[in-house]
Amino acid sequence: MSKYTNGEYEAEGLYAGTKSIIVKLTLDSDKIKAVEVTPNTPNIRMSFSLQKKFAAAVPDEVVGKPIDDVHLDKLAGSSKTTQGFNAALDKIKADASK
Amino acid sequence: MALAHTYNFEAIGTPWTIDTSKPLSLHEKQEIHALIDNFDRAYSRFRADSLVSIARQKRGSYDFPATIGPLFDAYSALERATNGAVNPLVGEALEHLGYDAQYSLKPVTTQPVKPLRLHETVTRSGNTLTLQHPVLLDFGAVGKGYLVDLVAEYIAQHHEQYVVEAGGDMRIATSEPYTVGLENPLDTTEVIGTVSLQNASICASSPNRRTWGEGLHHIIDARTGKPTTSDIIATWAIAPSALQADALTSALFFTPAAELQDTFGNFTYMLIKSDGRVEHNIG
Repeated sequence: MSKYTNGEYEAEGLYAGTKSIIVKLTLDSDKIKAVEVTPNTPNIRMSFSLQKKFAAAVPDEVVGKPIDDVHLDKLAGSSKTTQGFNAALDKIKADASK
Repeated sequence: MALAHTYNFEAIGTPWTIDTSKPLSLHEKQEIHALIDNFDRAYSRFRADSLVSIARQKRGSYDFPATIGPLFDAYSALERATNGAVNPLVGEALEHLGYDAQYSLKPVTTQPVKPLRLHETVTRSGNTLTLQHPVLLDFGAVGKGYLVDLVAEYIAQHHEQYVVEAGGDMRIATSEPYTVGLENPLDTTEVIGTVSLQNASICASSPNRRTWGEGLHHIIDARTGKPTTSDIIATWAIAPSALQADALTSALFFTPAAELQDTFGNFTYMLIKSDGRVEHNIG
């Protein structure tokens, strides 16, 4: 009879105060069969206009740059959040202009 | 470097993109859709058959899926951290302003509907919520981020690398950094900067993307029932989970980041004010 239930276990731990790691354990008949440790520290780097402007820590106005001029994997913003909302707004505008 | 395989679809009124290094199987896609549908059926105030639509009709106890635990706890933390400004009991206030299930976008009254306080009105025991009054819950401030987490956690069972994005909010787990552009809320053909993320979530919020009249938008101050008049026009937050990041994007409209760190720990954020000035703590 095993003391612990067989299976995979996962836990998050902190080290050096704020750095996070994920530890995955596989238990089989009360023995650790596998351990996997993954750093969970967000790797954040900021680039171009903001980085340049805020190097001096002076609040300034944002400067936009056309999306097509920048290589991006993803876009973080809220313009796509609610297609249903936008469709409804377009319909109301169209009805209003009749 | 973006991951090789992308799966696009629409759900909960927003476009989704899931990037993986090996393709998602048909079974995985079906499971993802089932997961999203179950979430929507419990928490969407936009569908008549949802649990929150049923619960608004009568006070009492309602059994939710297990996802209610983290979701409710996030709102409880938000209510405390923002002194009551963020509260899921804003559903009726939003409806009265016209942001209803039919998207009528016409205010029914000029008198704001002041929401009740969450901690005085709703209690959670396990997966059961008990409502002292019939109230319309709106999980819009955190729900989408949490759903991104749930989909990401499902995918993580079989994929080491993935990016789950729902309408500009995303969770990233990749071995190479992803370059994420920060969309200019005043001109969506532009970005105002980029962040390089590898093992983190980023969410964004902006009232001007969902405005249907002078001063009418979806970010409600629950202390008044009225849309916030804050001079902040957009927020971004980066945190380990999309639930945390999404919660923070809402909270930043009401509470300074330094105060929010007491509740939410260290996080990375950026916000833009209406005069174009920026506040952030990136790098």
